[in-house]
Amino acid sequence: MAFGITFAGVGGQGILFVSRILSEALVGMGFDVKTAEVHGMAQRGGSVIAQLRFGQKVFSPTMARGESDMLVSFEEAEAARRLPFLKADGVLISSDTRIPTMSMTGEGRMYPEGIYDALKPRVRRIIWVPAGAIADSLGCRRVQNMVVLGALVRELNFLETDWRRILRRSVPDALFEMNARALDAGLAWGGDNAEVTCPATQAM
Amino acid sequence: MAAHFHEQLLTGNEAVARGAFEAGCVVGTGYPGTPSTEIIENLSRHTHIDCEWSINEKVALEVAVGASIAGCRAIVAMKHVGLNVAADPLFAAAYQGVNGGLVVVSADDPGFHSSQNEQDNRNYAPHAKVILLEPSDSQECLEFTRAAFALSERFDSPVLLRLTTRLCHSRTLVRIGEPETPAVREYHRDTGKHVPLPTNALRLHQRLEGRLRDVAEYAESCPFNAIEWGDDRIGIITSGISYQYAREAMGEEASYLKLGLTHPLPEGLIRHFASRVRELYVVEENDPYLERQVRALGIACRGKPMIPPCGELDSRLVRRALAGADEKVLGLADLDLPSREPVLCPGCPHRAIFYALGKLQDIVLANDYGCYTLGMSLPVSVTDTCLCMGGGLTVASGFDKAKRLAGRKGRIFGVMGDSTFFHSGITGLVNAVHNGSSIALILLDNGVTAMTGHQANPGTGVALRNPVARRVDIGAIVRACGVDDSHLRLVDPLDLSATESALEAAYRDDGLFVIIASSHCVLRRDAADVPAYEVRPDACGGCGDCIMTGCPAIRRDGAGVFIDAASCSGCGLCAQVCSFNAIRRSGA
Repeated sequence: MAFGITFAGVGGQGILFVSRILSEALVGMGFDVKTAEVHGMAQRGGSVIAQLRFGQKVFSPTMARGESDMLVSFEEAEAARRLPFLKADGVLISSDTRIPTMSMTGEGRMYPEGIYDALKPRVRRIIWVPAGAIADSLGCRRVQNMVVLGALVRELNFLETDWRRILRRSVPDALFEMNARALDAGLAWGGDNAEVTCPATQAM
Repeated sequence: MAAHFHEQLLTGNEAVARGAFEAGCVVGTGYPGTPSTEIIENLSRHTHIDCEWSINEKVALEVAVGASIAGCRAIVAMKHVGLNVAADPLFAAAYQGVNGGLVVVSADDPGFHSSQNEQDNRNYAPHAKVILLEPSDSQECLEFTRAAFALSERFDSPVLLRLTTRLCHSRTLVRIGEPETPAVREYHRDTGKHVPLPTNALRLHQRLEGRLRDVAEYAESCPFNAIEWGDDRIGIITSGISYQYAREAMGEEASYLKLGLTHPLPEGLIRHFASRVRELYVVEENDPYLERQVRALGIACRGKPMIPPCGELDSRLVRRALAGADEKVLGLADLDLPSREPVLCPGCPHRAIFYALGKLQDIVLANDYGCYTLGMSLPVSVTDTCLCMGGGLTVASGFDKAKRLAGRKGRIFGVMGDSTFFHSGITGLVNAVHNGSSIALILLDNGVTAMTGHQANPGTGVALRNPVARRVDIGAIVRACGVDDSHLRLVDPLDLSATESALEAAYRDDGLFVIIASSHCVLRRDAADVPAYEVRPDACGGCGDCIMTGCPAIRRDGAGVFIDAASCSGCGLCAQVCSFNAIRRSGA
């Protein structure tokens, strides 16, 4: 059977890049890998998903609702929006990054609160990554996607892989160090927080 | 676990390009269209292959046919609706046959990921009478493409290679091969073959029918058509990506007739399979293309509508149809999540035009296909129709006729981009001049074919393989069509008052009026040194006018408004809109 991950987020967050890095690593580990992406309209700040499946032999590149073992989201509302893709006993990893939608601005609605609290009881395991803050502490918000990848790698326990080597051949030299540091930071955070989820809402 | 040495993850599009390269293809043409665009983009990396972005799909196929007749192996790629545009040369080429192998790639889009319909272009194959191939993963994209050229030459027929989004943009493991040495065949004039005067054409048709019989015979033993035996209680006839969904859904609980060459169909193989399974199903996305032909053979089977005809297929839908299984899915119904549709980028010049159009009363707007279709994402959205490439102009001409016949007031506007104008807008403009259309046309010239990934078009100043290309001047074309200067305005759309003044003039005019709004696509501008804009909270009146521009960089903040500096591109439109003078450049 194949293991499946649905990635969710907003067009432009670097979701496809994360999917590529992970899939390269999985191929190196000897798995059959298929990914499904959608290029085009959705990139203009729209809601996007990508899917990745790996196993001994994978047939369908896509998974229907309720078939993903993990849902990995790069944005809070998108984690909620794509929850139906997750299996009943699946694992949810999400960044706490919030990107308001045009419809919120246009209709005068605030960003919905309580998403974490609504998600937590519904999933077997939830990992809420302060990826934006971690990326900011490295001086580059843009690499928050790599922080999430680090937390994902920690959860999958793929710690033997030489991630830096894969990154090295996937990003331009000028961007390598920042991306690598973000990945390391996500891995470290995942290690420190293996059993703890730290939502901003918990402090309120 | 098998180690996948010498294999790499490629998208279907990358694999098609690789297959063409390996087959010694030397000409590649196409028009950008999701999900096909990366085929020509990847093919053009091989400098010995003559690749071009043609002005539209009809031209692309005609150029490829010319190259094929003259001895080159040629490939042409387009999205599904593009084949409608290229249909004329497709049908003609089928009668005439080829010299160098000719492969026509149709990248269909079940599920409308980036299209206005999900037409199933397999239906073209029996109508045009061409060979049809349907790969089911990236490895087959490579192998089928590579084999298609030799097939095309062997049977003297164009080959239609049919892809779908989930092939084009999915990555699966591929083992690449050694390329053949490209060679251009000799060309000798053969008017009997290539000039279909009625005296020739009947003979060509008869030959074509004979060819199809030969291919049908070949199909019986073609390695692309094969039976995978599992449990023979359930037999599934399938092709393309649907094979993967069926296999995922049913595994060893079924047997599969996996078809890769699907026109003409291998009737003997189908009968053989059907007779050896108890229940026969046909699993295919969208149209009952295979199913109709199976039934026409007198074979009972089940397919539509239990396998849905609309929307994308997946393994769960197949499983539900064949095995009745369904599992509970998680949902978050009680959280009212705001929608997140794609929008125009911050700084997009199209925004200014649609913002200004939104202020006009009593207009009809015929829109077209490109980034500017997202003009509909503004809070006040003014689009009435969107038909097909070029429709922004021609559908407006049709509305104009109704307006006159019905005695209506108001003004008819048409909108299209530069690439669309070259594609099929010029013909509509000539028609509007010649046949007296009273419409206001706005040409949105951002100098590039943006939505599909910034490909060059004749107005860009570069071509796919040429860093410097002669720029075709849209203003000169408009004038040459017969639009005089009193009915033509050239504006910078980000100069809001100039734009509003031009729109006012277009609105008040009662004849054909053309506005050319020129400004570079914001994603191609060097935005590094452009300062963002900011809102002065003390001056902000909270009127919300800036929000009406629909710019994603402008956000609400309690009662007021702020601009997200990281997203702002510094176009200054909001500053021009603000009547409180509360928005200005940062640091100003």
